[in-house]
Amino acid sequence: MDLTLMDMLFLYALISIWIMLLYHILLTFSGYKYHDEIYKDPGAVFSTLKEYPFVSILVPAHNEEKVIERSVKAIMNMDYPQDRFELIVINDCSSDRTGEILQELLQEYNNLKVITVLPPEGGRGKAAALNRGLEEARGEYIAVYDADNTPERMALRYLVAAIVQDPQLACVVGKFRTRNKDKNILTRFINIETLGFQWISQAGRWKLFNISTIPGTNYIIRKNVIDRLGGWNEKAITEDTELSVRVYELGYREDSEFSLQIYGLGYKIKFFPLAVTWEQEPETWKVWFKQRTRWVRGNIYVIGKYLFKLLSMKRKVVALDIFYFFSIYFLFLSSVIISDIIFIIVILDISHLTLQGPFFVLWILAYVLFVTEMAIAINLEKGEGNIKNILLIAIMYFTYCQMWIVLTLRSFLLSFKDKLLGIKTVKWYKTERF
Amino acid sequence: MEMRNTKRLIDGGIILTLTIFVIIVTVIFISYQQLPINTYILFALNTLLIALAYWLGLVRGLIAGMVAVFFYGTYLMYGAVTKGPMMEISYQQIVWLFLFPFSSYISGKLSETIKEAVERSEKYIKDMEELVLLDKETGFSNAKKFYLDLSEEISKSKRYGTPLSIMLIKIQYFDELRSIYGDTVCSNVIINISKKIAEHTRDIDKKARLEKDKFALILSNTDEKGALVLKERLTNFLENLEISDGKDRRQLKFSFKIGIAQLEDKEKDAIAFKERAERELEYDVG
Repeated sequence: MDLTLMDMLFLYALISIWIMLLYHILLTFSGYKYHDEIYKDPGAVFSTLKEYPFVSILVPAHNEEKVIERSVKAIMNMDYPQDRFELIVINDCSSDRTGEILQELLQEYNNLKVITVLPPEGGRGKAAALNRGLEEARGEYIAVYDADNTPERMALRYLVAAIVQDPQLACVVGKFRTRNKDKNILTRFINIETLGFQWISQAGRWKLFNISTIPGTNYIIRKNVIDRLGGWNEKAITEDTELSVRVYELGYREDSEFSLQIYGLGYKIKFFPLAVTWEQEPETWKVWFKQRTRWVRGNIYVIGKYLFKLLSMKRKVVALDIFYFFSIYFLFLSSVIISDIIFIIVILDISHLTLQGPFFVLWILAYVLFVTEMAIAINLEKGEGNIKNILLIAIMYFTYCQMWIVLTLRSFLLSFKDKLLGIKTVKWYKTERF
Repeated sequence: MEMRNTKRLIDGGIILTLTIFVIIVTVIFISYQQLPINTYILFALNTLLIALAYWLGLVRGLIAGMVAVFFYGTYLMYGAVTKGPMMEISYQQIVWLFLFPFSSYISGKLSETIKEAVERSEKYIKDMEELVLLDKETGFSNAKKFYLDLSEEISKSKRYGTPLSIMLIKIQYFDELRSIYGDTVCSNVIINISKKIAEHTRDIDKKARLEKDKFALILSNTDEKGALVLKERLTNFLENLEISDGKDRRQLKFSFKIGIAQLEDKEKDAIAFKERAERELEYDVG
């Protein structure tokens, strides 16, 4: 069989998408296994929790008057001994009533601390605010919540119980749910997307490789680890993803080089879905677009920072994981765009490409697998596996996912433009609250 | 217990329907040999997925469907690539890609719905048993209500200093009677006896049926002497009770044992109090 260069390219795209599909099947299956393991005996994790370590909870807040009061109250009402945690809210250059609300709350709670950062110094983003809070934190562990979060009462207790179990865990990440999921079709899409991300990507990767990513809220990290890392990276747009990679690169003993080489040990980040927080998701496409553009640009930053260091990275699995993200953004995205074009051509019957047959099958296969995998993911969550959500998944592929493509392309463009113009300022990319 | 049988019936029915379906399709395929064997294999796989999803539940069924779709899709693509550019994929082949997970979903959802319905019914039955305080046949209180009432009456009697007695009435040889005359007749007998008991006692006496052959009366404001008077009266009526057996109009005669106890000064416990009356039954040898 003679293959033209075009055929070779098609074949290459075909195989890379196929590998991606296979990987997602493995992830979905592993996510399901992890779900079963965790929910068999949810209380088991507490058997090793003999005493309560002191925890400092950091909440960065920048113009959060709409949500800050409820969030502080929810955190204060968590089922954890009142004298074993402190809440530090970093009020970073808020120009609204955030400061006043926090002053009122200070009267009510003894273990609430408010750090107010004023304009010339602050306003440099979430990572900077977290670092400011870290200076004042007394806890052996640091927990982070976003200002719009309503954690469930047991959330912190679960996080602590999970992290004390294993000294190799640098960080334990809880699950986040969508509080306003019934608001409109966008929040319903987001609800499904977050469940898919967490049960397939997070739970699956944890089960398969003991890897997961810090999502920016509802996580607990050892203070000595974050101290050794020098805090959050203030240059990174998504400080959480960036932090994940640096945690993995850190050995778990003081003599990290030694332990990594001899035992292959390193710190782990565990996904632990029993610790749940509910957060507010964007209710308009405009806000969604802005927020996600920030995420994608953050991921581009991380990929750009580590892509050429992949081979020299200490943890091969982590290098593979970054490579996977790179593949998603570069290889997979371009392949999806190609397959979209092919689909349109096939539908309109404009021309018959060589090797069109396999692509048509691949496209349908990708669609069917997407729907099935997401259906599995939402069925792992109580009350979400209803027919309405399944139908939403079926249309999500043509709507929500295509929006992702648009915004990823746009983010690349923006990042490229910044690179050309040499812009490096990081500021608050704050998501508007509702 | 009943619900579990219902579940087994539903499961059996579904398996049987599926089996019949498979047999018919198999026969058709054997009779018309020009039909492609590939289609039969796909049909068999799809049926297997339906059975798996029903048996293992929704999520595991979907996982099976996902794996099947992936392998089948890979097979199709491989075929299309190796057979060269002119290979056309037919829509009959594509349809299965949708059919596999869809079948898994429908079957898994069905299995889950049935399971939930059965569990819910079981829970209702259990809840109902806990809530029921009456005996269905006689309308008297059941054992649970009897103890609740007795505790209350003991408290009252202590507080107001009034006497309190209880009376147990046991039908002799009830099991033997039942094996001879059957459930319906015995049910009639019980209803008749309960009516007689209700007629010959005061409204304020609380009447209960503790076991199938044992009645209890809580006689408030009554001492042992008063209770003995009632016993005399009841014995008379009950011993002469004649109940006709539906078919041959034979008249049945019963013998009873009656035990009486009066609440003692320091007695507080309802169960112990009832036990004393129980012991009195043994001494009532007629």
